[in-house]
Amino acid sequence: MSDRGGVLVPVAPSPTLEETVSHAVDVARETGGGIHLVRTVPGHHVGRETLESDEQVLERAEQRAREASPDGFPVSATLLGAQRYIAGPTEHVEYFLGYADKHDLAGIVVDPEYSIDATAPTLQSLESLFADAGFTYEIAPVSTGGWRPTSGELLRASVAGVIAFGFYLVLGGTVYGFLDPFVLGSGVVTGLIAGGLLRNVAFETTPSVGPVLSTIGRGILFVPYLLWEITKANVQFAYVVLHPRLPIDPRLDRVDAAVGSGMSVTAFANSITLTPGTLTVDAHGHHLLIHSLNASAQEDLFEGVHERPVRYLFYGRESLELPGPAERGDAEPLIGPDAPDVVEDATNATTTETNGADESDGGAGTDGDDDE
Amino acid sequence: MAARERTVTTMSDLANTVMLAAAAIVVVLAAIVLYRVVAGPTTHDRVVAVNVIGTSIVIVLALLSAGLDRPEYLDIAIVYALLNFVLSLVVGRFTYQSDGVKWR
Amino acid sequence: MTLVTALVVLFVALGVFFTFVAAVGMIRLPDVYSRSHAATKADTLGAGFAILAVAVYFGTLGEVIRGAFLLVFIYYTNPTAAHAITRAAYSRGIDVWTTEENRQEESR
Repeated sequence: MSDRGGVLVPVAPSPTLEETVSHAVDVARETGGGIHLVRTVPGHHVGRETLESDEQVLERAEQRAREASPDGFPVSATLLGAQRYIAGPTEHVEYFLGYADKHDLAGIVVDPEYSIDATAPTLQSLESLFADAGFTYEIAPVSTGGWRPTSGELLRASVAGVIAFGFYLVLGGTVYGFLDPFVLGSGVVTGLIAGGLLRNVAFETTPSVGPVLSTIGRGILFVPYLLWEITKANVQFAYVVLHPRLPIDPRLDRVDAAVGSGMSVTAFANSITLTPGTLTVDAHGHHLLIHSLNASAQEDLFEGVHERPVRYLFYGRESLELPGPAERGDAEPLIGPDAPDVVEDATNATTTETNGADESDGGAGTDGDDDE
Repeated sequence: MAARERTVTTMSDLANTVMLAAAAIVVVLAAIVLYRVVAGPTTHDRVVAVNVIGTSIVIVLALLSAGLDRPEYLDIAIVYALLNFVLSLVVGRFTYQSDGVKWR
Repeated sequence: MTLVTALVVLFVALGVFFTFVAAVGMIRLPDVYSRSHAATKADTLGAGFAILAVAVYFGTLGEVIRGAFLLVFIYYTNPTAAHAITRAAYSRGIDVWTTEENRQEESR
Protein backbone atom coordinates (compact mmCIF):
# COMPACT_ATOMS: atom_id res chain seq x y z
CA MET A 1 0.00 0.00 0.00
CA SER A 2 3.02 2.24 0.20
CA ASP A 3 2.95 5.17 -2.17
CA ARG A 4 6.12 7.16 -1.79
CA GLY A 5 5.76 10.66 -3.07
CA GLY A 6 1.99 10.54 -2.84
CA VAL A 7 0.01 13.58 -1.74
CA LEU A 8 -2.85 13.65 0.75
CA VAL A 9 -5.70 16.09 0.20
CA PRO A 10 -8.27 16.56 2.98
CA VAL A 11 -11.62 16.98 1.29
CA ALA A 12 -14.47 19.15 2.50
CA PRO A 13 -17.17 20.97 0.59
CA SER A 14 -15.67 24.33 -0.29
CA PRO A 15 -15.71 26.66 -3.30
CA THR A 16 -12.00 26.16 -3.91
CA LEU A 17 -11.98 22.37 -3.68
CA GLU A 18 -11.58 21.83 -7.45
CA GLU A 19 -8.65 24.20 -7.74
CA THR A 20 -6.95 22.64 -4.74
CA VAL A 21 -7.30 19.19 -6.25
CA SER A 22 -5.79 20.40 -9.54
CA HIS A 23 -2.87 21.92 -7.67
CA ALA A 24 -2.36 18.74 -5.65
CA VAL A 25 -2.24 16.73 -8.88
CA ASP A 26 0.59 19.00 -10.11
CA VAL A 27 2.46 18.55 -6.83
CA ALA A 28 2.01 14.79 -6.93
CA ARG A 29 3.32 14.57 -10.49
CA GLU A 30 6.45 16.44 -9.42
CA THR A 31 7.09 14.24 -6.39
CA GLY A 32 6.27 11.15 -8.43
CA GLY A 33 3.36 9.72 -6.48
CA GLY A 34 -0.39 9.42 -6.60
CA ILE A 35 -3.04 11.62 -5.11
CA HIS A 36 -5.09 10.56 -2.13
CA LEU A 37 -8.38 12.30 -1.51
CA VAL A 38 -9.55 11.72 2.05
CA ARG A 39 -12.77 12.86 3.63
CA THR A 40 -13.36 12.32 7.33
CA VAL A 41 -16.92 12.19 8.54
CA PRO A 42 -17.94 12.81 12.12
CA GLY A 43 -19.38 9.80 13.86
CA HIS A 44 -22.96 11.02 13.84
CA HIS A 45 -23.43 8.49 11.09
CA VAL A 46 -23.07 5.33 13.10
CA GLY A 47 -26.26 3.41 12.44
CA ARG A 48 -27.60 6.02 10.06
CA GLU A 49 -27.71 6.39 6.30
CA THR A 50 -26.75 10.01 5.79
CA LEU A 51 -23.41 9.54 4.09
CA GLU A 52 -24.72 10.50 0.66
CA SER A 53 -23.63 14.11 0.68
CA ASP A 54 -20.16 13.16 1.92
CA GLU A 55 -19.82 10.61 -0.87
CA GLN A 56 -20.92 13.20 -3.41
CA VAL A 57 -18.26 15.66 -2.27
CA LEU A 58 -15.66 12.95 -2.55
CA GLU A 59 -16.87 11.92 -6.01
CA ARG A 60 -16.71 15.51 -7.17
CA ALA A 61 -13.10 15.79 -6.01
CA GLU A 62 -12.19 12.46 -7.56
CA GLN A 63 -13.72 13.40 -10.90
CA ARG A 64 -11.78 16.63 -10.91
CA ALA A 65 -8.55 14.80 -10.10
CA ARG A 66 -9.06 12.43 -13.03
CA GLU A 67 -9.78 15.33 -15.37
CA ALA A 68 -6.67 17.19 -14.29
CA SER A 69 -4.31 14.23 -14.58
CA PRO A 70 -3.10 12.01 -17.43
CA ASP A 71 -4.59 8.54 -17.90
CA GLY A 72 -3.36 5.93 -15.49
CA PHE A 73 -2.44 8.47 -12.83
CA PRO A 74 -3.15 6.93 -9.45
CA VAL A 75 -6.11 8.60 -7.77
CA SER A 76 -7.63 7.20 -4.63
CA ALA A 77 -10.59 8.50 -2.69
CA THR A 78 -11.36 7.34 0.82
CA LEU A 79 -14.02 8.04 3.37
CA LEU A 80 -12.71 7.67 6.92
CA GLY A 81 -14.43 7.39 10.24
CA ALA A 82 -17.92 6.42 9.07
CA GLN A 83 -18.07 3.55 11.55
CA ARG A 84 -16.48 5.44 14.43
CA TYR A 85 -17.44 8.15 16.80
CA ILE A 86 -15.26 11.18 16.22
CA ALA A 87 -15.52 14.23 18.42
CA GLY A 88 -13.25 17.19 17.95
CA PRO A 89 -10.86 18.39 15.27
CA THR A 90 -7.80 16.58 16.65
CA GLU A 91 -9.42 13.24 16.03
CA HIS A 92 -10.04 14.15 12.41
CA VAL A 93 -6.38 15.12 12.12
CA GLU A 94 -5.37 11.81 13.68
CA TYR A 95 -7.23 10.02 10.91
CA PHE A 96 -5.35 12.00 8.29
CA LEU A 97 -2.01 11.36 9.96
CA GLY A 98 -2.77 7.65 10.36
CA TYR A 99 -3.70 7.42 6.70
CA ALA A 100 -0.60 9.33 5.61
CA ASP A 101 1.60 7.10 7.78
CA LYS A 102 0.08 3.92 6.45
CA HIS A 103 0.54 4.91 2.83
CA ASP A 104 3.91 6.52 3.44
CA LEU A 105 2.80 9.76 1.82
CA ALA A 106 5.23 12.61 1.27
CA GLY A 107 3.08 15.65 1.78
CA ILE A 108 -0.28 17.15 2.48
CA VAL A 109 -1.99 19.81 0.41
CA VAL A 110 -4.60 21.76 2.34
CA ASP A 111 -7.44 23.70 0.80
CA PRO A 112 -7.32 27.22 2.26
CA GLU A 113 -11.10 27.04 2.70
CA TYR A 114 -10.96 23.60 4.29
CA SER A 115 -12.82 23.25 7.55
CA ILE A 116 -13.72 20.11 9.42
CA ASP A 117 -17.17 21.31 10.30
CA ALA A 118 -18.80 24.67 10.72
CA THR A 119 -16.10 25.96 13.05
CA ALA A 120 -13.37 28.20 11.74
CA PRO A 121 -10.23 26.23 10.86
CA THR A 122 -8.08 28.80 12.61
CA LEU A 123 -9.47 27.75 15.98
CA GLN A 124 -7.52 24.52 15.90
CA SER A 125 -4.69 25.12 13.54
CA LEU A 126 -4.52 22.20 11.14
CA GLU A 127 -1.21 23.39 9.83
CA SER A 128 0.54 23.28 13.17
CA LEU A 129 -0.83 19.80 13.88
CA PHE A 130 0.45 18.52 10.54
CA ALA A 131 3.79 20.25 11.00
CA ASP A 132 4.19 18.79 14.50
CA ALA A 133 3.73 15.31 13.08
CA GLY A 134 6.61 15.92 10.69
CA PHE A 135 4.73 16.19 7.40
CA THR A 136 5.43 18.75 4.75
CA TYR A 137 2.15 20.47 4.24
CA GLU A 138 1.25 23.14 1.80
CA ILE A 139 -1.67 25.46 1.48
CA ALA A 140 -2.88 25.32 -2.10
CA PRO A 141 -2.24 28.67 -3.85
CA VAL A 142 -5.76 29.15 -5.15
CA SER A 143 -7.60 32.38 -5.61
CA THR A 144 -10.25 32.53 -2.94
CA GLY A 145 -11.88 35.33 -4.86
CA GLY A 146 -12.17 37.69 -1.93
CA TRP A 147 -14.42 37.03 1.01
CA ARG A 148 -17.98 36.05 0.26
CA PRO A 149 -20.22 34.67 2.98
CA THR A 150 -21.65 31.27 2.17
CA SER A 151 -25.30 30.52 2.82
CA GLY A 152 -24.34 28.40 5.82
CA GLU A 153 -22.33 31.26 7.25
CA LEU A 154 -25.24 33.67 6.81
CA LEU A 155 -27.62 31.26 8.49
CA ARG A 156 -25.27 30.71 11.43
CA ALA A 157 -24.67 34.47 11.73
CA SER A 158 -28.39 35.22 11.82
CA VAL A 159 -29.16 32.48 14.34
CA ALA A 160 -26.34 33.68 16.63
CA GLY A 161 -27.46 37.30 16.14
CA VAL A 162 -31.10 36.59 16.93
CA ILE A 163 -30.16 34.64 20.07
CA ALA A 164 -27.85 37.46 21.22
CA PHE A 165 -30.56 40.05 20.53
CA GLY A 166 -33.16 38.04 22.42
CA PHE A 167 -30.85 37.67 25.38
CA TYR A 168 -30.00 41.37 25.39
CA LEU A 169 -33.68 42.24 25.20
CA VAL A 170 -34.54 39.94 28.08
CA LEU A 171 -31.91 41.44 30.38
CA GLY A 172 -32.36 45.06 29.29
CA GLY A 173 -36.10 44.97 28.65
CA THR A 174 -37.03 43.84 32.13
CA VAL A 175 -35.31 46.92 33.57
CA TYR A 176 -35.99 49.66 31.02
CA GLY A 177 -39.09 48.30 29.27
CA PHE A 178 -39.19 46.12 26.18
CA LEU A 179 -40.18 48.92 23.80
CA ASP A 180 -37.56 51.41 24.93
CA PRO A 181 -35.86 52.68 21.76
CA PHE A 182 -32.40 52.64 23.32
CA VAL A 183 -32.77 49.02 24.39
CA LEU A 184 -34.02 47.99 20.94
CA GLY A 185 -31.40 50.01 19.07
CA SER A 186 -28.40 48.92 21.08
CA GLY A 187 -29.78 45.39 21.08
CA VAL A 188 -29.84 45.29 17.27
CA VAL A 189 -26.25 46.54 17.17
CA THR A 190 -25.20 43.93 19.73
CA GLY A 191 -26.96 41.21 17.77
CA LEU A 192 -25.23 42.22 14.53
CA ILE A 193 -21.80 42.27 16.18
CA ALA A 194 -22.36 38.94 17.92
CA GLY A 195 -23.68 37.30 14.75
CA GLY A 196 -20.79 38.61 12.67
CA LEU A 197 -18.11 37.56 15.11
CA LEU A 198 -19.55 34.23 16.20
CA ARG A 199 -20.78 32.84 12.87
CA ASN A 200 -17.89 30.37 12.66
CA VAL A 201 -17.42 29.86 16.37
CA ALA A 202 -20.79 29.31 17.99
CA PHE A 203 -21.92 26.23 16.07
CA GLU A 204 -20.27 22.95 15.25
CA THR A 205 -22.52 22.27 12.31
CA THR A 206 -24.92 24.54 10.47
CA PRO A 207 -28.14 24.20 12.44
CA SER A 208 -31.17 22.86 10.62
CA VAL A 209 -34.72 23.12 11.89
CA GLY A 210 -35.68 19.45 12.23
CA PRO A 211 -32.87 18.06 14.41
CA VAL A 212 -32.65 21.23 16.50
CA LEU A 213 -36.38 21.18 17.29
CA SER A 214 -36.37 17.48 18.17
CA THR A 215 -33.28 17.97 20.36
CA ILE A 216 -35.01 20.82 22.16
CA GLY A 217 -38.12 18.68 22.51
CA ARG A 218 -36.16 15.81 24.02
CA GLY A 219 -34.26 18.33 26.14
CA ILE A 220 -37.54 19.21 27.86
CA LEU A 221 -37.66 15.56 29.01
CA PHE A 222 -33.93 15.43 29.68
CA VAL A 223 -33.62 18.42 32.01
CA PRO A 224 -36.05 17.24 34.74
CA TYR A 225 -34.43 13.80 34.59
CA LEU A 226 -31.00 15.39 35.00
CA LEU A 227 -32.19 17.58 37.87
CA TRP A 228 -33.62 14.53 39.61
CA GLU A 229 -30.35 12.64 39.13
CA ILE A 230 -28.40 15.62 40.47
CA THR A 231 -30.57 15.78 43.58
CA LYS A 232 -30.14 12.05 44.11
CA ALA A 233 -26.39 12.42 43.61
CA ASN A 234 -26.23 15.08 46.25
CA VAL A 235 -28.17 13.14 48.85
CA GLN A 236 -25.76 10.22 48.36
CA PHE A 237 -22.80 12.57 48.41
CA ALA A 238 -24.02 14.28 51.59
CA TYR A 239 -24.36 10.85 53.23
CA VAL A 240 -20.82 9.85 52.24
CA VAL A 241 -19.24 13.12 53.31
CA LEU A 242 -21.05 13.44 56.63
CA HIS A 243 -20.57 9.77 57.53
CA PRO A 244 -18.02 9.56 60.38
CA ARG A 245 -15.89 6.91 58.63
CA LEU A 246 -15.95 8.60 55.20
CA PRO A 247 -16.82 5.44 53.19
CA ILE A 248 -15.12 6.22 49.88
CA ASP A 249 -13.24 3.93 47.56
CA PRO A 250 -12.10 6.04 44.63
CA ARG A 251 -11.05 4.73 41.25
CA LEU A 252 -10.22 6.09 37.82
CA ASP A 253 -11.52 4.59 34.59
CA ARG A 254 -11.41 5.24 30.90
CA VAL A 255 -14.68 5.23 29.02
CA ASP A 256 -15.16 5.78 25.30
CA ALA A 257 -18.39 7.67 24.84
CA ALA A 258 -20.63 6.56 21.99
CA VAL A 259 -21.45 10.13 21.04
CA GLY A 260 -19.98 11.95 18.12
CA SER A 261 -19.74 15.71 18.42
CA GLY A 262 -18.19 18.28 20.69
CA MET A 263 -21.60 19.36 21.97
CA SER A 264 -22.78 15.88 22.89
CA VAL A 265 -19.43 14.92 24.46
CA THR A 266 -19.61 18.10 26.56
CA ALA A 267 -23.16 17.30 27.62
CA PHE A 268 -22.12 13.75 28.46
CA ALA A 269 -19.03 14.82 30.41
CA ASN A 270 -20.91 17.46 32.37
CA SER A 271 -23.83 15.19 33.21
CA ILE A 272 -21.30 12.61 34.42
CA THR A 273 -19.75 15.24 36.62
CA LEU A 274 -23.10 16.32 38.05
CA THR A 275 -24.53 12.85 38.69
CA PRO A 276 -23.80 10.27 41.41
CA GLY A 277 -20.20 9.87 42.44
CA THR A 278 -18.55 10.41 39.08
CA LEU A 279 -16.33 13.19 37.77
CA THR A 280 -14.83 13.70 34.31
CA VAL A 281 -11.10 14.26 34.70
CA ASP A 282 -9.90 14.45 31.12
CA ALA A 283 -11.34 14.24 27.66
CA HIS A 284 -9.56 13.53 24.44
CA GLY A 285 -12.05 13.35 21.63
CA HIS A 286 -14.61 10.82 22.77
CA HIS A 287 -12.25 9.15 25.25
CA LEU A 288 -13.08 10.25 28.77
CA LEU A 289 -11.16 9.73 32.00
CA ILE A 290 -13.64 9.38 34.83
CA HIS A 291 -13.02 9.47 38.57
CA SER A 292 -15.59 7.56 40.61
CA LEU A 293 -16.03 8.00 44.32
CA ASN A 294 -17.16 4.42 45.01
CA ALA A 295 -17.95 1.08 43.37
CA SER A 296 -21.66 1.61 42.73
CA ALA A 297 -20.96 4.84 40.86
CA GLN A 298 -18.52 2.97 38.65
CA GLU A 299 -21.07 0.22 37.94
CA ASP A 300 -23.66 2.78 36.89
CA LEU A 301 -21.14 4.37 34.60
CA PHE A 302 -20.14 1.08 32.96
CA GLU A 303 -23.75 0.06 32.44
CA GLY A 304 -24.39 3.26 30.54
CA VAL A 305 -26.75 4.92 33.02
CA HIS A 306 -25.28 8.33 32.14
CA GLU A 307 -24.67 7.69 28.48
CA ARG A 308 -28.15 6.57 27.50
CA PRO A 309 -29.99 9.83 28.33
CA VAL A 310 -27.38 11.89 26.48
CA ARG A 311 -27.65 9.63 23.45
CA TYR A 312 -31.43 9.95 23.68
CA LEU A 313 -31.08 13.73 23.78
CA PHE A 314 -28.99 13.97 20.63
CA TYR A 315 -29.92 10.92 18.57
CA GLY A 316 -33.45 9.98 19.56
CA ARG A 317 -35.19 6.92 20.81
CA GLU A 318 -33.57 4.16 18.74
CA SER A 319 -30.15 4.88 20.24
CA LEU A 320 -31.41 3.72 23.65
CA GLU A 321 -30.86 0.12 22.63
CA LEU A 322 -27.10 0.43 22.43
CA PRO A 323 -25.38 -1.63 25.15
CA GLY A 324 -23.46 0.15 27.91
CA PRO A 325 -19.74 0.95 27.67
CA ALA A 326 -18.66 -2.17 29.59
CA GLU A 327 -20.56 -4.49 27.26
CA ARG A 328 -19.16 -2.78 24.19
CA GLY A 329 -15.63 -3.08 25.56
CA ASP A 330 -15.33 0.69 25.70
CA ALA A 331 -14.56 0.87 29.41
CA GLU A 332 -11.32 0.11 31.19
CA PRO A 333 -10.27 0.59 34.82
CA LEU A 334 -6.98 2.45 35.12
CA ILE A 335 -6.39 3.15 38.81
CA GLY A 336 -8.17 1.63 41.77
CA PRO A 337 -9.32 -1.75 43.11
CA ASP A 338 -10.28 -3.16 39.68
CA ALA A 339 -7.26 -1.96 37.80
CA PRO A 340 -5.10 -4.66 36.26
CA ASP A 341 -1.42 -4.91 37.18
CA VAL A 342 0.63 -2.39 35.30
CA VAL A 343 2.84 -5.03 33.64
CA GLU A 344 0.24 -7.05 31.76
CA ASP A 345 -1.84 -3.99 31.11
CA ALA A 346 -0.27 -3.09 27.79
CA THR A 347 -1.44 -6.06 25.73
CA ASN A 348 -5.20 -5.94 26.07
CA ALA A 349 -5.51 -2.21 26.38
CA THR A 350 -4.48 -1.22 22.87
CA THR A 351 -7.33 -3.01 21.11
CA THR A 352 -9.83 -0.24 21.62
CA GLU A 353 -7.52 2.46 20.36
CA THR A 354 -8.89 4.73 17.68
CA ASN A 355 -6.51 4.17 14.85
CA GLY A 356 -7.66 5.85 11.72
CA ALA A 357 -5.70 3.82 9.26
CA ASP A 358 -6.65 0.39 10.50
CA GLU A 359 -10.29 -0.04 9.68
CA SER A 360 -10.66 2.67 7.15
CA ASP A 361 -10.11 1.39 3.66
CA GLY A 362 -13.47 -0.21 3.14
CA GLY A 363 -14.96 3.25 2.61
CA ALA A 364 -16.47 4.76 -0.47
CA GLY A 365 -13.20 4.98 -2.31
CA THR A 366 -11.67 3.43 -5.35
CA ASP A 367 -8.10 2.48 -4.74
CA GLY A 368 -5.81 3.60 -7.52
CA ASP A 369 -2.59 2.16 -6.19
CA ASP A 370 -2.49 -0.78 -8.59
CA ASP A 371 -2.31 1.45 -11.64
CA GLU A 372 1.34 2.22 -11.16
CA MET B 1 -43.14 47.45 43.96
CA ALA B 2 -43.80 49.78 46.87
CA ALA B 3 -47.41 48.68 47.16
CA ARG B 4 -46.40 45.07 47.27
CA GLU B 5 -43.93 45.70 50.07
CA ARG B 6 -46.50 47.51 52.19
CA THR B 7 -49.14 44.79 51.98
CA VAL B 8 -46.82 41.92 52.79
CA THR B 9 -44.60 43.62 55.34
CA THR B 10 -44.64 41.01 58.11
CA MET B 11 -44.07 38.00 55.84
CA SER B 12 -41.43 39.81 53.84
CA ASP B 13 -39.59 40.68 57.04
CA LEU B 14 -39.31 37.02 57.93
CA ALA B 15 -38.05 36.10 54.43
CA ASN B 16 -35.58 38.99 54.54
CA THR B 17 -34.23 37.92 57.89
CA VAL B 18 -33.88 34.32 56.74
CA MET B 19 -32.03 35.45 53.62
CA LEU B 20 -29.61 37.62 55.58
CA ALA B 21 -28.99 34.92 58.18
CA ALA B 22 -28.36 32.37 55.45
CA ALA B 23 -25.94 34.77 53.78
CA ALA B 24 -24.05 35.10 57.06
CA ILE B 25 -23.85 31.30 57.43
CA VAL B 26 -22.58 30.90 53.87
CA VAL B 27 -19.88 33.50 54.56
CA VAL B 28 -18.78 31.46 57.58
CA LEU B 29 -18.73 28.29 55.42
CA ALA B 30 -16.61 30.11 52.84
CA ALA B 31 -14.20 31.04 55.62
CA ILE B 32 -13.97 27.34 56.56
CA VAL B 33 -13.15 26.45 52.95
CA LEU B 34 -10.40 29.08 53.15
CA TYR B 35 -8.53 26.49 55.23
CA ARG B 36 -8.16 24.40 52.08
CA VAL B 37 -6.78 27.40 50.19
CA VAL B 38 -4.12 27.86 52.87
CA ALA B 39 -3.38 24.16 53.47
CA GLY B 40 -3.22 23.07 49.83
CA PRO B 41 -1.27 20.81 49.40
CA THR B 42 -1.26 21.34 45.61
CA THR B 43 -2.09 24.37 43.49
CA HIS B 44 -5.08 22.50 42.13
CA ASP B 45 -6.51 21.92 45.60
CA ARG B 46 -6.25 25.63 46.21
CA VAL B 47 -7.94 26.52 42.94
CA VAL B 48 -10.79 24.07 43.57
CA ALA B 49 -11.22 25.68 47.00
CA VAL B 50 -11.16 29.19 45.51
CA ASN B 51 -13.77 28.02 43.03
CA VAL B 52 -16.00 26.81 45.86
CA ILE B 53 -15.54 30.13 47.67
CA GLY B 54 -16.43 31.94 44.44
CA THR B 55 -19.66 29.96 44.13
CA SER B 56 -20.37 30.73 47.79
CA ILE B 57 -19.95 34.43 47.05
CA VAL B 58 -22.42 34.14 44.18
CA ILE B 59 -24.86 32.54 46.64
CA VAL B 60 -24.21 35.34 49.16
CA LEU B 61 -24.80 38.01 46.50
CA ALA B 62 -28.06 36.36 45.45
CA LEU B 63 -29.22 36.03 49.06
CA LEU B 64 -28.27 39.65 49.82
CA SER B 65 -30.17 40.89 46.77
CA ALA B 66 -33.30 39.30 48.21
CA GLY B 67 -32.52 40.11 51.83
CA LEU B 68 -31.91 43.80 51.12
CA ASP B 69 -34.47 44.02 48.29
CA ARG B 70 -31.81 45.12 45.81
CA PRO B 71 -32.54 43.15 42.61
CA GLU B 72 -29.58 44.76 40.82
CA TYR B 73 -27.21 42.67 42.94
CA LEU B 74 -28.26 39.70 40.80
CA ASP B 75 -26.44 41.29 37.85
CA ILE B 76 -23.31 41.49 39.97
CA ALA B 77 -23.77 37.82 40.88
CA ILE B 78 -23.91 36.92 37.17
CA VAL B 79 -20.69 38.80 36.45
CA TYR B 80 -19.02 37.24 39.47
CA ALA B 81 -20.01 33.74 38.36
CA LEU B 82 -18.48 34.48 34.97
CA LEU B 83 -15.19 35.69 36.47
CA ASN B 84 -15.08 32.68 38.79
CA PHE B 85 -15.43 30.37 35.80
CA VAL B 86 -12.75 32.17 33.80
CA LEU B 87 -10.34 31.97 36.75
CA SER B 88 -10.63 28.18 36.93
CA LEU B 89 -10.31 27.79 33.18
CA VAL B 90 -7.21 29.95 33.02
CA VAL B 91 -5.46 28.16 35.88
CA GLY B 92 -6.45 24.79 34.45
CA ARG B 93 -5.21 25.84 31.04
CA PHE B 94 -1.84 27.15 32.15
CA THR B 95 -1.02 24.26 34.46
CA TYR B 96 -1.94 21.59 31.92
CA GLN B 97 0.82 19.45 30.47
CA SER B 98 -0.47 17.85 27.32
CA ASP B 99 2.15 15.10 27.30
CA GLY B 100 1.57 14.19 30.92
CA VAL B 101 -1.68 12.26 30.48
CA LYS B 102 -1.42 8.48 30.56
CA TRP B 103 -4.36 7.00 28.70
CA ARG B 104 -3.52 3.41 29.23
CA MET C 1 -46.57 32.52 57.23
CA THR C 2 -47.69 32.25 53.64
CA LEU C 3 -46.86 29.48 51.20
CA VAL C 4 -44.34 31.66 49.38
CA THR C 5 -42.46 32.44 52.57
CA ALA C 6 -42.49 28.78 53.55
CA LEU C 7 -41.07 27.84 50.14
CA VAL C 8 -38.41 30.54 50.39
CA VAL C 9 -37.34 29.39 53.85
CA LEU C 10 -37.27 25.74 52.74
CA PHE C 11 -35.15 26.48 49.66
CA VAL C 12 -32.76 28.69 51.62
CA ALA C 13 -32.35 25.98 54.23
CA LEU C 14 -31.61 23.35 51.56
CA GLY C 15 -29.18 25.69 49.84
CA VAL C 16 -27.29 26.34 53.07
CA PHE C 17 -27.28 22.62 53.88
CA PHE C 18 -25.69 21.62 50.58
CA THR C 19 -23.19 24.48 50.78
CA PHE C 20 -22.34 23.11 54.21
CA VAL C 21 -21.86 19.63 52.73
CA ALA C 22 -19.55 21.14 50.10
CA ALA C 23 -17.47 22.89 52.77
CA VAL C 24 -17.20 19.72 54.88
CA GLY C 25 -16.28 17.76 51.76
CA MET C 26 -13.56 20.23 50.89
CA ILE C 27 -12.01 19.76 54.32
CA ARG C 28 -12.50 16.00 54.79
CA LEU C 29 -11.93 14.41 51.38
CA PRO C 30 -8.42 13.12 50.71
CA ASP C 31 -7.33 14.34 47.26
CA VAL C 32 -7.99 16.97 44.63
CA TYR C 33 -10.20 14.66 42.54
CA SER C 34 -12.59 13.73 45.33
CA ARG C 35 -12.62 17.33 46.53
CA SER C 36 -13.76 18.31 43.07
CA HIS C 37 -16.78 16.06 43.63
CA ALA C 38 -17.66 18.36 46.52
CA ALA C 39 -17.05 21.46 44.43
CA THR C 40 -19.26 20.29 41.56
CA LYS C 41 -22.15 18.41 43.07
CA ALA C 42 -22.88 19.83 46.51
CA ASP C 43 -21.89 23.40 45.79
CA THR C 44 -23.82 23.48 42.52
CA LEU C 45 -26.98 22.18 44.11
CA GLY C 46 -26.53 24.55 47.06
CA ALA C 47 -26.32 27.48 44.66
CA GLY C 48 -29.29 26.06 42.77
CA PHE C 49 -31.55 26.05 45.84
CA ALA C 50 -30.37 29.46 47.04
CA ILE C 51 -31.03 31.07 43.66
CA LEU C 52 -34.37 29.28 43.40
CA ALA C 53 -35.29 30.81 46.77
CA VAL C 54 -34.30 34.28 45.55
CA ALA C 55 -36.31 33.86 42.33
CA VAL C 56 -39.38 32.73 44.30
CA TYR C 57 -38.92 35.63 46.71
CA PHE C 58 -38.84 38.30 44.00
CA GLY C 59 -41.34 36.65 41.70
CA THR C 60 -40.91 39.40 39.08
CA LEU C 61 -40.07 38.61 35.46
CA GLY C 62 -36.67 40.28 35.32
CA GLU C 63 -35.38 38.66 38.51
CA VAL C 64 -36.75 35.22 37.63
CA ILE C 65 -35.02 35.39 34.23
CA ARG C 66 -31.78 36.55 35.81
CA GLY C 67 -32.02 33.77 38.38
CA ALA C 68 -32.73 31.19 35.69
CA PHE C 69 -29.77 32.42 33.69
CA LEU C 70 -27.49 32.36 36.72
CA LEU C 71 -28.67 28.82 37.45
CA VAL C 72 -28.09 27.52 33.93
CA PHE C 73 -24.74 29.24 33.91
CA ILE C 74 -23.57 27.74 37.20
CA TYR C 75 -24.82 24.28 36.20
CA TYR C 76 -22.85 24.48 33.01
CA THR C 77 -19.67 26.16 34.23
CA ASN C 78 -19.04 24.44 37.58
CA PRO C 79 -18.51 20.97 36.09
CA THR C 80 -16.44 22.49 33.30
CA ALA C 81 -14.23 24.39 35.74
CA ALA C 82 -13.74 21.31 37.93
CA HIS C 83 -12.91 19.34 34.82
CA ALA C 84 -10.32 21.92 33.72
CA ILE C 85 -8.60 21.79 37.09
CA THR C 86 -8.63 18.01 37.63
CA ARG C 87 -7.43 17.60 34.06
CA ALA C 88 -4.48 19.87 34.77
CA ALA C 89 -3.85 18.05 38.07
CA TYR C 90 -3.90 14.67 36.35
CA SER C 91 -1.57 15.85 33.61
CA ARG C 92 0.83 16.99 36.31
CA GLY C 93 0.89 13.45 37.66
CA ILE C 94 -0.90 14.13 40.94
CA ASP C 95 -1.80 10.71 42.37
CA VAL C 96 -5.34 9.48 42.71
CA TRP C 97 -6.01 8.56 46.31
CA THR C 98 -7.22 4.99 46.70
CA THR C 99 -8.12 2.89 49.72
CA GLU C 100 -5.33 1.54 51.91
CA GLU C 101 -5.53 -2.14 50.89
CA ASN C 102 -5.08 -1.10 47.32
CA ARG C 103 -2.11 1.04 48.21
CA GLN C 104 -0.44 -2.01 49.73
CA GLU C 105 -1.22 -4.13 46.69
CA GLU C 106 0.33 -1.61 44.41
CA SER C 107 3.52 -1.34 46.39
CA ARG C 108 4.03 -5.12 46.38
